[in-house]
Amino acid sequence: MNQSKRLSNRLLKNIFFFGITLSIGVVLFALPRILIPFGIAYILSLMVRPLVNVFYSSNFQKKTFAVLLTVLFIFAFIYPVVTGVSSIGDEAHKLEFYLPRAESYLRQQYLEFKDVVFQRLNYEIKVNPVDELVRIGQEYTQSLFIYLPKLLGSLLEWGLIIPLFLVFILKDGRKLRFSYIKIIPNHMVEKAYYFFHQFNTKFGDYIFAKFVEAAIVGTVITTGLLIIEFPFALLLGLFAAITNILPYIGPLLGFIPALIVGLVDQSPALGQMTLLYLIANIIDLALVFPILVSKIVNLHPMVVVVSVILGSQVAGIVGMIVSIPLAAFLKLFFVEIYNELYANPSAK
Amino acid sequence: MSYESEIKEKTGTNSFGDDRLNIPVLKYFWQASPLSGARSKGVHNFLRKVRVLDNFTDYELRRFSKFLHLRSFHAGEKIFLEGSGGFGFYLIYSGNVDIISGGIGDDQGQIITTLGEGEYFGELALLEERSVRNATAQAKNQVTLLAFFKPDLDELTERYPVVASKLLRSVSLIVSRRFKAVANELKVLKEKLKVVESESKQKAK
Repeated sequence: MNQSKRLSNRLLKNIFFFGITLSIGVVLFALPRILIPFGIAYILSLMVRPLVNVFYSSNFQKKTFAVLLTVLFIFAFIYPVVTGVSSIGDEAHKLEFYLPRAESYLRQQYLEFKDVVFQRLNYEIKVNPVDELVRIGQEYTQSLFIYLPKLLGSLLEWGLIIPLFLVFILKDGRKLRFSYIKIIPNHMVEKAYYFFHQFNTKFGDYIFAKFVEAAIVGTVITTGLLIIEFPFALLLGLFAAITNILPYIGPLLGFIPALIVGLVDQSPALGQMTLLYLIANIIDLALVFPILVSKIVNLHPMVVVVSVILGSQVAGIVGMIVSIPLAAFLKLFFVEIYNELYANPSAK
Repeated sequence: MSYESEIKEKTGTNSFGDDRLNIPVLKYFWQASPLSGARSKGVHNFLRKVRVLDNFTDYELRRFSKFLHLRSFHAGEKIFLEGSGGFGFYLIYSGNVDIISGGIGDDQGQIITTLGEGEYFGELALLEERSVRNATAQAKNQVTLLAFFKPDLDELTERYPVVASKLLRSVSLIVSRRFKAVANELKVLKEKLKVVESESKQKAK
């Protein structure tokens, strides 16, 4: 009787725990307007963790620190939106007039290439990749201009909500975590807590490392392009920083628009620009990546590529960024399960 | 100058300052009082009684107590299993815990020792990178444990390095005591083995 009561009690605890976890997940995923700023605030909280610890160890008041950080983040969010967006917006407008030129240049180059092939090999190329490229380009540019005001609106909304979430996570995150741990059933608490911690660490460290990496690459390229007076320096720098998040193909993707601009403009700085991209990527590959990123993620290149493709299919750019630390965490999770099931037969 | 005249002079010149109540000071004296009820209960007071935490100051114990998880186990419930991965160190807040060796599958195993209030187990999990439990821990009766997990140690190290280093010192102390006990046991066993060997040699002669 007593035994059956205990079993039902254990079952109830399990149902309660999984029910709560599932409910939190469902609520967050059903409300993307909350999930996205909350997710960003959570990632930021992981990123500022070293700073928080310094303040904690110096006996700084938790509340004061949270308020200070909020003010800093509100400023850090709104200031670039107000100032940076206007200059990037100017460049984006210039791009609108620039695209037809790029289109005609590409068409002309394609026709010339087609002629050369026909003259030399007596073969007529029937496919026309330029049309497809232009169609994709136009679609993306149009959607960018349509969604830009909406994106700016969300950015301003996030500028207020994210710091607010951040303060709550920093101030009460630990209490919430401890409360959540309380409801984890006894037989799984150790491992669940350990995995949760590993996930947080890998995720926070990776996002922070990638953010720093993108910022370094973006700054080097923007500054370099401004110095050599290359057009669209800000936009190209921003694009290179964003594409840098993608492993292997990212740096190449970031270089393509700059190459097109250089070719269309017949820019004399084309060689300098290529050298600049090369230097920025050498800095990234030789210095930033080994120091910051590789220690956190130890995955096979194939796994990295597959996880990035899967991530982009599921959640676009965010999916691409999140996929690698998630894959690293899943690897750890499966290794642990494997060890539990096969490597330690005595545990069964 | 007499004490009375000194008081009189001070009250006359109002050098005592304002007569508002200083709540933090009152709170401190209230909590410091041995008659205070708040001191007789709670995790913090329990930690003061744990011998391996002797080197902690009151403030450090208070900080450490914020990182502990209070968990209850009913009689017969397994706390952890032999051979499984370990990530937690436990202090027994109330009740008794059996430490069982063997006990794999249907085998019930052998009780090595029974630990009581104020005692601890699972300390190797904090020190080893991939710790594997070398015995099963099972609640003998209704048990309340204070659990301290590996992620908590990481956080404690980052936030309060002094407290963390003292904790690791305590854990090292526990390990060294266990090591000494095992070494002594080994010594005794070796001596017993020698006696058995000499006896068997004599019998053979």
